[in-house]
Amino acid sequence: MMETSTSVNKLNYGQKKQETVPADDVEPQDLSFYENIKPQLDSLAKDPSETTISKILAYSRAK
Amino acid sequence: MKLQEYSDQDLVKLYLTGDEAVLEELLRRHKSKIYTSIYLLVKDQYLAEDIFQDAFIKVINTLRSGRYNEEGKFLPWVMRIAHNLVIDYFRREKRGPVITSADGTDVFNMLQFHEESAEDRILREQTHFDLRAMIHLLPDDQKEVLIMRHYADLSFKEIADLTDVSINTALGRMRYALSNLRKMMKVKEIS
Repeated sequence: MMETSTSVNKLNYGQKKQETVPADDVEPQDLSFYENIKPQLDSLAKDPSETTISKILAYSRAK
Repeated sequence: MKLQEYSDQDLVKLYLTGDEAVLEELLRRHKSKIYTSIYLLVKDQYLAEDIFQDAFIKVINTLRSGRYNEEGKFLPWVMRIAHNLVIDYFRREKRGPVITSADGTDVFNMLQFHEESAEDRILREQTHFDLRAMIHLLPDDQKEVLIMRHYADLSFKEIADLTDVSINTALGRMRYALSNLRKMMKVKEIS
């Protein structure tokens, strides 16, 4: 079987962090799959309620 | 200089001088990453809110007491606190994460997308529900790495440190998570 050189590090689309990690292969179809579902994964992101944020800020002010 | 232009490290220093607006900026910057990670692990909106709040109370207490020493790594530090609170919760409950018992209806999504048609909403909710259900079906260790990598934006090194495994193990878990998700979606498409 042909080896690929695609690193899991490439999953870091933002490239905000330059990681020095051991090279590790990921199946090209899994990498491509991740690219495809990234928008769907992103759409699951949620924020906490404003009430929770307000409670945290109030706690900080009272501390 | 606007607060948005400061690094987390600088914001923490400013916060310690008593500038309360800084905490708002730190929350604005990281709330989605932290909350989504907690929510996807515990699968309960109200519990996730509680854990998120408890995590930040610990953050505030630690910062105020001068015990914070992870300069420049604010997010991984908060994620570690949140992760420990999630583990504590499951230990107290003496169970692992459960399959969601809710009917899939998401109050926040309904509020956010109130202008879309009913059909679009049902389709979107079904897609969200399917993907979320598939993520929940992953083994806990794989789910954890996927969530921390994608939502919390942690590096594999940070995930490895946080979960007490080697970087190779964290990488391997991400690889298996993607592979398993892909297989689940394939099965769903066939059925």
